[in-house]
Amino acid sequence: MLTLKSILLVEDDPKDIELTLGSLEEYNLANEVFVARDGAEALDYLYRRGQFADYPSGNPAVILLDLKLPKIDGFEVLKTIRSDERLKFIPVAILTSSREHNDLIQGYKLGVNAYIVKPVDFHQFTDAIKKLGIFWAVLNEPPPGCVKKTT
Amino acid sequence: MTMPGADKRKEGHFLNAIAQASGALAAVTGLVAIFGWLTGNLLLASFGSPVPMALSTALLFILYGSAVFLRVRKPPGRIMYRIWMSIVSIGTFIAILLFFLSYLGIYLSIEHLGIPISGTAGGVPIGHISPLTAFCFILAGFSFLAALSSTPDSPGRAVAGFWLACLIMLTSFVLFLAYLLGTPLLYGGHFIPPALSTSLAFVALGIALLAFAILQIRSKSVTVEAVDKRAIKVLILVFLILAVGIISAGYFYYHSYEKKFRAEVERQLSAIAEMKVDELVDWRKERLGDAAVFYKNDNFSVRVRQYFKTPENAEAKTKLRTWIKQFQSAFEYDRIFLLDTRGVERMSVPDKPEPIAPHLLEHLSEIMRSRQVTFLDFHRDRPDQPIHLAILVPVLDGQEGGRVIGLLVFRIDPQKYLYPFINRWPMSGKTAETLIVRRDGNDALFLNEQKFQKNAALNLRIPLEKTEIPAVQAVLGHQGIVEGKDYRGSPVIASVRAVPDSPWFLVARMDISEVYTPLRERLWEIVILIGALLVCAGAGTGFVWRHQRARYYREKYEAAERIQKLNRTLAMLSDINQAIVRIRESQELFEQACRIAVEKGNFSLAWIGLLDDSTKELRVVASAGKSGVYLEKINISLMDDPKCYCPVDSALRKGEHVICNVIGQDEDLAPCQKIALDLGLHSSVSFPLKVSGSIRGTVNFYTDEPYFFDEEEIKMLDELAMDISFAMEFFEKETERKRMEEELKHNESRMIALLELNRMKNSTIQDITSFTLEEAIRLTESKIGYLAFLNEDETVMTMYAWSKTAMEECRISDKPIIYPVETTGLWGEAVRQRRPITTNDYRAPNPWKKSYPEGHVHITRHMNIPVFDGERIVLVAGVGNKPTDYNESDVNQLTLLMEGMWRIIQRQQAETKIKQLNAELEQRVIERTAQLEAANKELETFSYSVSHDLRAPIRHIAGFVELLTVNTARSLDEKSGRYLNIIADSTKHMGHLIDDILSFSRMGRAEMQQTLIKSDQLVKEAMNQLQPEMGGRNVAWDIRPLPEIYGDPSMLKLVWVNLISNALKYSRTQPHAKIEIGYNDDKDDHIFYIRDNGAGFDMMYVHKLFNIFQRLHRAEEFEGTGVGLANVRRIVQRHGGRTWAEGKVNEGATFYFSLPKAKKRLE
Repeated sequence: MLTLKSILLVEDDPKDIELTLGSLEEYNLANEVFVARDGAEALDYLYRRGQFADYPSGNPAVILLDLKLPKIDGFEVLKTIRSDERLKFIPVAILTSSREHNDLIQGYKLGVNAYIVKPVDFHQFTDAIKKLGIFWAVLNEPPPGCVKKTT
Repeated sequence: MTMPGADKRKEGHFLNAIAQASGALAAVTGLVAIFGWLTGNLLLASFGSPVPMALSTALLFILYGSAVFLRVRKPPGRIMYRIWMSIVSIGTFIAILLFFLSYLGIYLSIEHLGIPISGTAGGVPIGHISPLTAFCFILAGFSFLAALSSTPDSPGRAVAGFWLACLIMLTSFVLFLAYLLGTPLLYGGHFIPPALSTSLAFVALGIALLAFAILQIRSKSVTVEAVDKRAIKVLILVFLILAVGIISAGYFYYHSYEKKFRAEVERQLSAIAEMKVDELVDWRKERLGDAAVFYKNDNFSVRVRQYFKTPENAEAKTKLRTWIKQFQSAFEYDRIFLLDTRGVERMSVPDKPEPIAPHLLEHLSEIMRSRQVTFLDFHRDRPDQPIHLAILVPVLDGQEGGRVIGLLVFRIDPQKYLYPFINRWPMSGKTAETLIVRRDGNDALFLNEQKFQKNAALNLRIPLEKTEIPAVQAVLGHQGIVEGKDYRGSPVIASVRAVPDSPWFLVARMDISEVYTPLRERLWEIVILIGALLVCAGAGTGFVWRHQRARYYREKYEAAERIQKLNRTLAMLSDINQAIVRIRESQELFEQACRIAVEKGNFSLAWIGLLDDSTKELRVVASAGKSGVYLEKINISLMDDPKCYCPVDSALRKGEHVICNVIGQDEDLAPCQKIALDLGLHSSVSFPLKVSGSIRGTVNFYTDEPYFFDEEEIKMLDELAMDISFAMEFFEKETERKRMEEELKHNESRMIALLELNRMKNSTIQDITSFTLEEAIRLTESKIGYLAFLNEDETVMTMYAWSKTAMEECRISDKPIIYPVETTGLWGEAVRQRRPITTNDYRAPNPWKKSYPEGHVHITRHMNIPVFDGERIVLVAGVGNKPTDYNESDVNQLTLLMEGMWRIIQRQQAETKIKQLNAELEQRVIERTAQLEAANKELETFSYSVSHDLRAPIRHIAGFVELLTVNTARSLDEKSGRYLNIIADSTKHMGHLIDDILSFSRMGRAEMQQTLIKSDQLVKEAMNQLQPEMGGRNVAWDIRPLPEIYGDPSMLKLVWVNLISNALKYSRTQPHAKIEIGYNDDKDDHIFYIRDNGAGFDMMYVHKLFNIFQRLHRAEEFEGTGVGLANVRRIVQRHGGRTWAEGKVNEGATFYFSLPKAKKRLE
């Protein structure tokens, strides 16, 4: 029995969101994806505060995090997650356009679990997203406290 | 002055010349003889003697003569020595052979050398060598060989050679003398006599050999004394040899002359005897012929018969008488008379009756029986009667067998004809006479009258026992020449003969004493000649001896004198040497040396001249003795051509001693000759004085004696000159040493001053210059000093510092500070001439000097220098009033000090400037760094945003085009589909471009690691990475071993990936792609390369190859962004290496990159 876990996608670009979700949809992963459009929203979501205060508690199985975000950027989000006792075990995969070495280093320094450069090629991109979704949302056993949904 | 050595040499030359000339003469004589033989002109071979020189003789003369000539002319080396030895040995051997052949009378025609020669002279064949000649050649050969082979160890051989040569001389002399006196030796004998030319040539050869032998003896060096002791013996021997030669020559000559003369006399005697005998025979025949007229004459018989029958018959009587009378008168008969058989005289003519001699009657009766004509020999009719001869003719009755009817007597008076005829002598001769004798019993009876004995005819008889008497010998039957005593007992020589058909014997005789008279005269002549020659020889040897003695004593005297002289010189030498040891000052030494030379060495004048360093003129520094104005006139300079060739000048130029033996005769001395002669100087010698090889001057000695300087004297003086030179060198070195010490001290002082100056970094220039000036004054031992700087164009001097003393002493109130270079006085000269100027005699007039103003420091000496900075004079420093002269060292010290000071001032200025610049620079760096950092930041932000923000839209385009394509796959027409594809491709390309730009930019910024990399491994990894691109490709890989290097692995891997990827890409059109990866080891670099056989490129564009976005192929051919190689270059450059490529269109390309071997290469 496969357990689908929820995915938090932090992405400001709607085109990317569409493409990402489009890719995840192929494996029916899209439904469990919550999209946060900036770092603040992502944190609000994670902390269930503000507009998300009423959301049921539970951590996502994985956070797909873009780095360049309005308001609070990806690294800051990551930093906040890793410094929070409740959130710090959430696997975070950086999904970014940046191939910058510094970003890579910075990401791993802050305890990212994966660093994926978004391929320009659509096929490669969808392929990567799919694999990512399968791995984190399906195959990976998340740390305790994460939302699970049995299909 | 004569030197024994020179004498000996002179004699040697003389002997040499003699030997050469004589040898050549002998050889030439031989040549002339051969020429004579060849041309048939025998006079050339004989010189007029009856025998000519044989060809063999001539050849030997050429051989020997040229041998001596050449040997003496040029003493041979070892090889020549052997050649001469062998040639002359062969010659000697030939001579020995010829000697024996000639001696034994074996004359081989080979001796004629093919020239047809025949004929004889003196009974022997010509054209052959005389045994005497051959013998002489043997002697000559031995003489030459002995002399030639003599060595210093065995001078005896040369002596032997000498004596052998003497022997040849003697022999040749005798031979020549013989010719001189008329007859060649051996002439007419059994042996071949030597020719006149041979004799002469031997004289020459003998002289040559003699000279050669003497030369050889000489060369073995014999001392004068030994020569003298030997000389007398030698001279006596020479004289004896000459005497023996002269005497024996005389003796031989006389002997031969005597023989010749005797032969002549004998020939005369024989001729006379023969003639007389012939005439006697004729006479007798005539007389018998007369008788025959009447004998058996019928007419006569008839007339006689008639007359006897009838004596009265006057007619018969008259007729008979007439007949007889005719006969008597015609034939000068003494008396013809007719007897009858009874012995009665019947008729006589002249008609004067004489008594009949009784012996006639005896004959009558005998004739009547024999009826033959009878010759009645010398007889006397009676003892008191004169001597008569008679022919008795019987008168026969009837023709045949008739009885004798009478006797006709023809009485002959020998006095009338016969005796005078016999006694007649055809030549002058006091004792010469002819006599006839007949045997009378046991006696020889003289028939005619004798010169020396009266009434000898028929009276003088000599018993036959006395055979020593020629007459007796004649009677006894001897014929020819006999010697004996005559009737008087005096020795005679006679030719005896029998007169045929008669009892007579004829003796033509002559006293031996008379025969020998001319011989004796000749003997006297010879004796006188010999005597004269002996006297001459004696005188000659005596003269030579006297000469020798004189020379001996002269040499002894000269030796003594020389020793005295040498002693003097030695004393002088010793004194001067002592002076050299004692005296420490050159001038004093020179004066002492000259003084000692005059006082001890007895020289008339001695002086020493030294060359002036600058003018190169000889300056007289010391002299002693009579110099007069002579030394003032000496004007010698090496700068120009020699004014004269006097010994001084020549010694100076040649660097060796030069002697003038007779000043009065030496034309080279013209300028000073007269003065020297007036001073009584007659010979001189000059020696160069050399200090460390260079000539500094001369030391000269003069004497009042010509030819004073001999070899030994010169040798000693030479030594003296060397000693003085040595002393000079010592002084110079000493001075030099002192100077060096002084300089060292000054140097040290200067160094300390400079060190001090160095410490004055923070002082002002004024402090520095003042300090330096005081130091300069101290260093140069000066009293005052100044220092002025020059402006840029060296036209104005600015006085910057005066020494304290100068300041104190100066009374000028308003001192000028600025001095234009052009108008400044003496001290501006250093700038104008651009060199240090030293004025040690300031008071002396000087064109540059301007009088200093009132109140100026008094100056006695002055020296200043310009200080250069490169070509430019920057300052002038001067010092003055040193107690002694300023010298080179002062100039150096001042220059070095001031230059040091200038450097320090310069450095100080430079330091200040550098500090300022550093500060500025630092500020600038800070600014620049900030700018750079800002720019970097900006760049980073830029690339970040590019990375992020540029990629996103592209990705979106790509994504949505894809989605569009999928969604519209069915509804879209083909064209639109293609457009979508193009958009998709372009987007993809854009994505690649951005990725590549980002990576390129990253490469420039990324930090580099530094690890040891195995290149092989790196290449393998790169290849692995490129595996997808290799799919399905047929590539022949050739990967060579690669070295380990230091570098950034990921970067270098990227390099390899790029390069291999390129190679794969551009070789994919090749069916058999070949890629070679290799490595060349260079000195400093690792050089890697990758070679493919792909599309290659045109070398024209090679320079563009590594530029970013630069592509050499169209995108349709080979895709790409043009960043790969740019990245390669960037990485390699960051590693400190280089990249380059080679290629050819369609033939492949090779890409190289180098990495430095050293680790430090990193930027």
